[in-house]
Amino acid sequence: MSHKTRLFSLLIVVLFVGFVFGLAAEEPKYGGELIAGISADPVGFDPHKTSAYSSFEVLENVYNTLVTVGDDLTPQPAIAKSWEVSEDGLTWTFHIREGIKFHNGRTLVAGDIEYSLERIMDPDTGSGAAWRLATVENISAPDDDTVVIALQNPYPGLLTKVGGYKGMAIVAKENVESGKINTHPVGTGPFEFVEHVPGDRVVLSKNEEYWEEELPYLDGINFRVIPDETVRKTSLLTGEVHWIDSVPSQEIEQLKKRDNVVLGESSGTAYWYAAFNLDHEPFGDRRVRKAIAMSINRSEIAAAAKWDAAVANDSPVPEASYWSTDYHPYLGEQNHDKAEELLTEAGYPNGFNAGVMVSTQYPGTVRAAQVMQAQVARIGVNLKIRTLEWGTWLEEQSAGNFDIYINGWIGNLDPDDYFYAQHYTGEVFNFTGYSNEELDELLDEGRMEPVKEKRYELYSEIQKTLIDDAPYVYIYIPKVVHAWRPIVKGYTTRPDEALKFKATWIAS
Amino acid sequence: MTAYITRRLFTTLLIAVGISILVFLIVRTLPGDPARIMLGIQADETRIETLREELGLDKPIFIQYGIWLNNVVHGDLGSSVITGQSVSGSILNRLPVTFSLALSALFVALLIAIPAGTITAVKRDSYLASIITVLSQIGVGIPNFWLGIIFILVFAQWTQLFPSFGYEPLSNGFFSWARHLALPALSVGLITGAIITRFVRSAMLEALNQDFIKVARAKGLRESVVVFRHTFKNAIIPIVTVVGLQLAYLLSGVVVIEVVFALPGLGRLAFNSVTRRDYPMLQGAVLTIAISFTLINLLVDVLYAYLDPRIKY
Repeated sequence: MSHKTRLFSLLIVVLFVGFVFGLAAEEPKYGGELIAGISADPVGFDPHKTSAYSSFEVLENVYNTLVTVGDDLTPQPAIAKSWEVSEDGLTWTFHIREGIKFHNGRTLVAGDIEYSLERIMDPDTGSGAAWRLATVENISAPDDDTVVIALQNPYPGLLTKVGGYKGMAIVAKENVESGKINTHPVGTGPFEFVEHVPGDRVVLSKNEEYWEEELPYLDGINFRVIPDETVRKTSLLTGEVHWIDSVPSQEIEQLKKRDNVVLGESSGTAYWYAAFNLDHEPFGDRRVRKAIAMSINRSEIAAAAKWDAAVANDSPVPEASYWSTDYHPYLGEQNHDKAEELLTEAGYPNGFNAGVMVSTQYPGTVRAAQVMQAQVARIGVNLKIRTLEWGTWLEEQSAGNFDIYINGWIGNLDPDDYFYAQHYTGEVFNFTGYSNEELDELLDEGRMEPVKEKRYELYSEIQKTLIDDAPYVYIYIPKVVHAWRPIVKGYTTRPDEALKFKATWIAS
Repeated sequence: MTAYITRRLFTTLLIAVGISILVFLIVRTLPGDPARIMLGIQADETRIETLREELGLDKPIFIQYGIWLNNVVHGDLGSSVITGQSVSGSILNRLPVTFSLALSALFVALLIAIPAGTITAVKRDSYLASIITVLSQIGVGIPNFWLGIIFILVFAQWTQLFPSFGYEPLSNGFFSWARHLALPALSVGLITGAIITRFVRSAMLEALNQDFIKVARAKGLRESVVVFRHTFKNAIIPIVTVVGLQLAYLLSGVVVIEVVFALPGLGRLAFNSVTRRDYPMLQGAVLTIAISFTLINLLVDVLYAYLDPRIKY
């Protein structure tokens, strides 16, 4: 456990290239508009309804959540300045900061939190984030400064669930009722929404009455939509934009050498994996799944999918995380003999045919499937790649029309995020059909266990079980990579991919 | 003439209705639905069902069409099921971008094609004509987005003469508008120009072989008069036809160029609506494209009568 002591939190090392100038000590400067190049047009601005990352790139700066997660991904005060948990772990009391104002001038009260969280839970809202509040029994606001969340079971992961994602934003009721929230959101965040020119730009301006002292520094942000990655990179090099949300993975190394670009890298909170359909022959057999898990070379797949922008892993948890373990049975040499042995035991001495489903939405997965196809061919498994457009892919996944699919889970903060929804018996996101009573018990315990060390033991056991049982074959963990001009200061690329510009400023 | 135009406008209407039915059916038989795409990978079935009902997607398809058509007749194209923006508003916002790009690209194309096509026809055996022919062959063969990327590299990244992306409305000043349009207009215009050059050449060649040209030359008219007054005037009908077709194509949105240069035009709107299954937005965009197509055809036909007095409707 000694290696654990240096890893106190989920903190993941954030690397700054070009930080050598020693500008950290420089005084922040007020003013200026940040021009940020983003890769996709936002798809609606109702934080409770949209699931598009492009929307959250903007909304991150418009809204606040009850609590938030800091750069080290641990819970921090936000709208709630403090909180307590009852001894039985069932009642959480949050104390609301005074004087927070919505962009329309109205003062935020505890009732706004009650309203927002209930709106997310209401099935009529159709929020894709409702599952985050699945353990909530009831939310109430006894007075304007207090919010009480009552749970069905003790759940220490509650804070990251309500604070780790802007889909849990605290919204203004009048903005919802006027029907304008999806086109003109009103929040309490550091920047106010000004306008959206679809396909072109989203403009935000400084919230002069923002509650965090002295913030924000910028007068505004102009998000420009630049879909082509080469052009996005070029516009950064020419200085037409100050900051871009992603760079072509194959050009990371080259960009690092330039002195007019700063690259921000962070290992992400996402993991990419291949999932088996256990109801389709022969994937109900654990030996078959293991044979595939041990016959693929994850570094090769990661390199094909993301060039230098991903780390191969046979576990979903990044190595730097508190929750990572030493159990990596598949990371060494590929063991084709053992894999063939397992297939023979399972009754497939000559291999078999199967399909792997990927989507054009994530071109990396298409390349990953091609490499995987070549790798498993060595043990006689003949994979046919089915490349679908995203809408169709989602349909096929939920209908269970696949043998194997490749995809990712993003935004995992609490260890529960990595495993519960994916593998608990009968959960809606358990697309593999995996069911293991012992694992279910461990997952339940892990959710409720308040002592961090004990939780660690539980989640180590869970990881070991899943890696051995292999309903998912974990492949790689992508890095988050942003790039900006050297004049942009006070910006950190975070593992959770949240774009927080409140402390960002532009040097002259 | 008026009767003819009225009749044609009426057919345009019929075509639009026909197209709208076709698009309605095709779009809805595609697998995938907007509710699922909107809610994302972490949404459960009951929420997807709720949203489907809210969007009216649970109703039989002919009822959905009826509702839509009724609204359109009342001037309401509806609003996006994904973003809530009004469809007509979105289209109106994007039309100036598409018009700007289409017309400036056509301007570039004609600036090249008319002289180039004429030279290759009149001075058939010269070196210049051979060079132009080779260049136009190459131009027809290369994709416009590739040319776009090359232009961005050369004129935006290396020399920094032009912006690499984006659109500025004309209301922000002609210079800024033109600067932003220059590279996309050149990328599309050069290639469209190469295509039109070949048509100008063949139309001119055909006209040059007519007996009246021989007569004109026999009369001792100057070559410039022969070429411009007599030949070009007679070659113009097929040229107008192909220019009309090209314009219609440009107006329907040069999707890839709009993506490369991040121009918020009609093509990208339609493309994004397909991937998001944003039915009302897609209906509106396709309807607009279809109507502009038929209107340009009408314009071309009317031009025929104006350019060639022998044509009467």
